[in-house]
Amino acid sequence: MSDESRRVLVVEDEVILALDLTEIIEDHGYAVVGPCSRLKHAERAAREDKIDAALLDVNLGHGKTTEGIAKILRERNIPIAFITAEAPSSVAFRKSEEPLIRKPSSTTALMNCIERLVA
Amino acid sequence: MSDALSLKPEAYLVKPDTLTDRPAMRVSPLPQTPRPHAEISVDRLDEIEELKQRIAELEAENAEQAMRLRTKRTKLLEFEAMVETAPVGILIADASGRITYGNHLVEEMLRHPIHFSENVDDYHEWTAFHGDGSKVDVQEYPLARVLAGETYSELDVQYLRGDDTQFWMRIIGRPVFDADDNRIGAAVALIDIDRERKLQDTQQILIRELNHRVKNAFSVVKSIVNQSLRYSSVEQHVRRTLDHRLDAYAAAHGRLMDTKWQSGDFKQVVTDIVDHVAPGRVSYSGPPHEINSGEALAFSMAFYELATNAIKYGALSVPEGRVTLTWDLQDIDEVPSLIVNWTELNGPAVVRSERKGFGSFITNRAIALETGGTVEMDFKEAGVSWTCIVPIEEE
Repeated sequence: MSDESRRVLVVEDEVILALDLTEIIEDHGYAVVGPCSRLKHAERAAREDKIDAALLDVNLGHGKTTEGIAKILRERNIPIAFITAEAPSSVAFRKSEEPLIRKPSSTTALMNCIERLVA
Repeated sequence: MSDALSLKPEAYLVKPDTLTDRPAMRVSPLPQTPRPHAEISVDRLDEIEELKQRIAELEAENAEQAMRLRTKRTKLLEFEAMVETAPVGILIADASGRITYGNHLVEEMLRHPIHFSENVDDYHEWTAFHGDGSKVDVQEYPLARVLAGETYSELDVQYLRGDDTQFWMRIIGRPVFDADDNRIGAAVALIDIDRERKLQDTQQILIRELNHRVKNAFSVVKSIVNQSLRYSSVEQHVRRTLDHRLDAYAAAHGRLMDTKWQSGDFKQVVTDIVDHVAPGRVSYSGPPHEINSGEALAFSMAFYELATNAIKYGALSVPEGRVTLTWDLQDIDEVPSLIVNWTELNGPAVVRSERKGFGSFITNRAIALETGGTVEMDFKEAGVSWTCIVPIEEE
């Protein structure tokens, strides 16, 4: 796509899922920042990269979550959607206006969500 | 404690010998050392006065002595209160192993009166078992071990209580020293760890259950794929490949569950895949190295793809072909790194494929993203050479 492609940050620790999500998002004309499977890389990207929207896996394994990433992005006024296999109520740090996608998700649900985020 | 303080000192004056302390009474100096004035003074009244004074002095001394004893007695009572308040059973033995003291919790926990065993050999009166069901030998008890010279001893046992029920108990032993640092006995604390052990057991059951369910989920996914593709135009080998890939992923998952999801030995990851997919045809070597669960999964899948590719198109597709798989720990640009190399030899001429299939996705992008490392694929005449360099991060 062109330079005007909207940029979506993808943070997901399951690598195969991360790359699969990336391809789906790219196929729909967006540019993907990342994908980041590690907290450290994700934090750097969240702070420094040009991002229009972010798709964050909630649980990054070994007790790590994307809570810190979400905070950085909110400070930059970047819209966020969470993606998780867990129950919606278990994501304590999600703000009510931030959408949550359940895993496994359909391509349609995912893209609808992202389109709403960047609209 | 308030009880102890309210004890009257007189009580101790009556029977000082009942106290275990040093003799409380000093020998009165009166008969041995008559005062110099006695010979000079002829006035009996003076003498009486002097004796009275002496008596007063002695009484004062006695009172002071009693006070000191009371303090010691108070300390002893405080100490006893501490021992009785502690939420653990406490037993004390002298140097010969004779059990001399036990707090009330010992009886409460063990549900039988304390056995005041005469010596270590008599500890068979206490019945406890190891995790494997074998009886705990008298010499194995922390009390016996500390008496034999150890400075600390700990043992978890399943104890047979007085009412024939059993519970898990941790025994911790420490020596008792006198003021001159001589060992004069040993003390053990008995801690009820039954709840903790049962929780551990429950956790194990839950992990097994989770493992089972995940495996089931994989099977269901496989069936869905198979059923969906059965009547479609998809070729059978595609179906088989999908099936095997899901198997490889499920197997790697299963192993990680066995190791509680934390980490695995690199060699284990290697042997699990190559001995399964290409038994005897891959020679591998490298130092012991622990990798985390995500990396283990990524390498499992990569080795699976490399091995199946070698069998189909590479060195393992011909009888004389072989593969060496080596790994090593080295500094690359001053970063401690794991270097993994898969090299195929004596294979058919390599045809460089530009097609980006699932295999190359796994052996390249996926593993690089998972490990934060770099991957290099070298298409040599004699076979493919795949190198993955992973920086070792200190958590």
